Amino acid sequence: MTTVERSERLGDPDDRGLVSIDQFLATDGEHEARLPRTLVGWLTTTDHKALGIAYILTSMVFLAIGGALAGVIRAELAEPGLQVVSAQTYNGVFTIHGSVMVYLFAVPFGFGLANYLVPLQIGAPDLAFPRLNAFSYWLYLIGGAVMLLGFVSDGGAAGFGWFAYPPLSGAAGSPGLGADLWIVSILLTGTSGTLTAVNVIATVTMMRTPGMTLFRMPILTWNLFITAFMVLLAFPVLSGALLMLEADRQFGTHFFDPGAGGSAVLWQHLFWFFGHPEVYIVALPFFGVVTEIFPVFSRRPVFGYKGLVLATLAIGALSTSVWAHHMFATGEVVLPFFALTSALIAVPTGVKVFNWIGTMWSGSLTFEAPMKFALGFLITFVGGGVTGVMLASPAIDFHLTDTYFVVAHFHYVMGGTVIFAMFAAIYFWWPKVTGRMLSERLGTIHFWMLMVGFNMTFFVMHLLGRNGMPRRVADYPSVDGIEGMNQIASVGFVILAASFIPFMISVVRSLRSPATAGADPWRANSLEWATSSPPSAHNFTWLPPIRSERPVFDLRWINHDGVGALSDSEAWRARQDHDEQWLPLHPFVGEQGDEPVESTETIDESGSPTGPAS
Amino acid sequence: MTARFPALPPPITEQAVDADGVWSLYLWIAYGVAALVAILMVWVIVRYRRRTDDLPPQKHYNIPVEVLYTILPLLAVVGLFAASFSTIRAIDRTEEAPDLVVDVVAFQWQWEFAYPASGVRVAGTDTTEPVLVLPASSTVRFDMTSRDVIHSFWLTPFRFKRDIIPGRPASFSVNIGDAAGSYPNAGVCAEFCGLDHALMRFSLLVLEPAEFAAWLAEQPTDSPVVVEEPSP
Repeated sequence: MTTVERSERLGDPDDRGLVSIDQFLATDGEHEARLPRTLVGWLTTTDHKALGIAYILTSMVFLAIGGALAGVIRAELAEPGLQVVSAQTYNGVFTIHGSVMVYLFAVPFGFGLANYLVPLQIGAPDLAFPRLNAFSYWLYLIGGAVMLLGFVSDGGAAGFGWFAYPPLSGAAGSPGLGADLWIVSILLTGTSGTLTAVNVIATVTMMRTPGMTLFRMPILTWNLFITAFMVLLAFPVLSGALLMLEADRQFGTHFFDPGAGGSAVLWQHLFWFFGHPEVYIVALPFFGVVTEIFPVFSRRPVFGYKGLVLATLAIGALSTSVWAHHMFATGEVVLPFFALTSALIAVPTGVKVFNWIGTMWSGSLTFEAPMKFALGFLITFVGGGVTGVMLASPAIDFHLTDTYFVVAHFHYVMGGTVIFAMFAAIYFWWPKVTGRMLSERLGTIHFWMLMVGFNMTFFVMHLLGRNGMPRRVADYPSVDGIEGMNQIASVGFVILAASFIPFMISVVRSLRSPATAGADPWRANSLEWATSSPPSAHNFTWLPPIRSERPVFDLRWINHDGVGALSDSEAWRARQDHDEQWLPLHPFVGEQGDEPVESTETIDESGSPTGPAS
Repeated sequence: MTARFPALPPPITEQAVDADGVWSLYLWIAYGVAALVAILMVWVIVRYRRRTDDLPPQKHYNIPVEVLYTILPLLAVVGLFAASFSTIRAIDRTEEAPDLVVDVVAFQWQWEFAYPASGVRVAGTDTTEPVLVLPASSTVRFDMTSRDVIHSFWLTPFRFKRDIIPGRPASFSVNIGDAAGSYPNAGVCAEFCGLDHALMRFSLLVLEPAEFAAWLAEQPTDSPVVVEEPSP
């Protein structure tokens, strides 16, 4: 790589000609980060960063609760017979485990990412509707608490599985208050999600900084944007169905009551019309996370950026036409149509996998903790993806649906991928949020324990399901293979749970150390790294010019030929006098006090060597 | 890992044999895809590990490669779909005139099997699972109803299950092969149906056609029969 002569270098580069982001940032303390310091402050904050942290912490608490419930499940299944809990408690435990993980952990964690990162990635000071955002968060928290109240209500928590098929979820099938609390809880969190989706769409549409065209947005923002549309499509359907179910239970309607002319199948259609997009609502933000991480630790641009965006759009579109593959065994759906659409969704998904590998291909890879977890995500995702294609064929699905094979499948695609990508995100953005680094050594231990524990727990479930173990059973016949496999899964769960210990140690140590990470510890790409860590109030005191999807990368490597959207120092100099977006750079590269002048001269964007913008 | 799986009996119907054929095909393709991605990952991790601090090539697209890796998966999944299409149709077909019709009634948390042509009914007790008795080498249709919530009639040697939704009688048929024998624990309720869902199991006993006819003729028709559970 050629380097320009030192005298021509821009900014204040180091020996290799790399520009450091920190030198551009205000250091006067005027714009220092201010998270709320009091309880009242937290209760009344509308700052997207504070609410983002609140979302993520809350969802992690729900992850711990859901994980504890999973522990009860694995303890009960470690041996045949009922040892730990009664059948009724068990049914409540797996119902709330699934509901907490899906509704209260995975989706809200994605909303937390959207809260914290979307404004930063598009150069905005906050979300479009900050007070609506605060309202969404409190609805979510209250909704989650309502669900857990089921455990102390008369008759125990709802015990009909996270998809609540009537008539079992009707007044006769589940008479207790727990079922009503469950319905109200999902209504509240669903409404919260819908409002957040509106907020994200408005923010991305209206608040991008000048130069941030749609095709220069980071892929994470793209994915959260598309996720928000899917939320708008899917969540209201669920809310409607839940209101119908609650009316059946409490107000004497008969939407889903076959005894009075209602239809139990109607619920399944409505639920899965929400339920399958929901899978991608959970997954897409995490696809976005790893798409931010692979390029940084490969020092490469995202490979096939536009193809990746199109693949995400295709997944979003296809996900609305595959729902009935959850209903193959009902005999009530057109098998070939839904088999084909379900199989087709593997195509854009496969494209993503190859894009990720293409990003790393011919790169310069390092394996810090975020990269390790992103690679863990990739392995887990492929493992769950291939079984997804198998289940898309009714000939196979008839045997495997409602067994542990399906449990294994969705714990790979919705459990493992989410957990791995979640930790990739935490390790990656932790320095941005806290200004401190997490330990690499503990991160490595954490990664390998999670990898071993996760696969040990869930891989054997494929075999269990294929060999005849149905899901949602508190007990199973004492057959050698089945019993042994369940014991392996239960031991695996202990390792999986223990993997959180090194992480917690790392978190505590990091928070007690000084905040010295700097603005851009990973030498990353997108705009959130162009502000201090933690970001200042209203995020930015300065923005680099945005000429590709990697504005921070472009600036850092500006002194290197062939790198950066504006590789040419002449272009830089030509630009600085008449582009207001460049004004903050003047102290470093231009004469101070120049008045910006209007000019029609523009840089030809198509000439940029890395920008995907046309 | 030495754990065996005595739990899964061999496929005993034509449909089950077909389904296992599709399963094997998909399984090998799945292994292939997983191996391909694993090899690519190991390759990039080993080959492109950071060795110098130089910036690697910044090429960010390659249209022919991108088209290729869109088309190939498309062909693969459409091919897989086509390969399983005829099996889907065959499995989903319901026989109008089978050798035997069995009425299956599912309720919380038991099964009752009736042979309407002869008036015999088989049930379980509070402590024993019911036993479904079927003739080998014949075509059987199951007409199924539920009395309360949704259940699912799953016989592992059939590699098939069908949900039984209250208010919606369901049917399916199978061609049982020459598979006389006893299949303990082969029958499972696969749709979660409440408190004792886990205990809602049954066993399968397949008799030679002559033996089956004799057995059926011996049974009383006035009350449900409890069949001795086949020994495992």
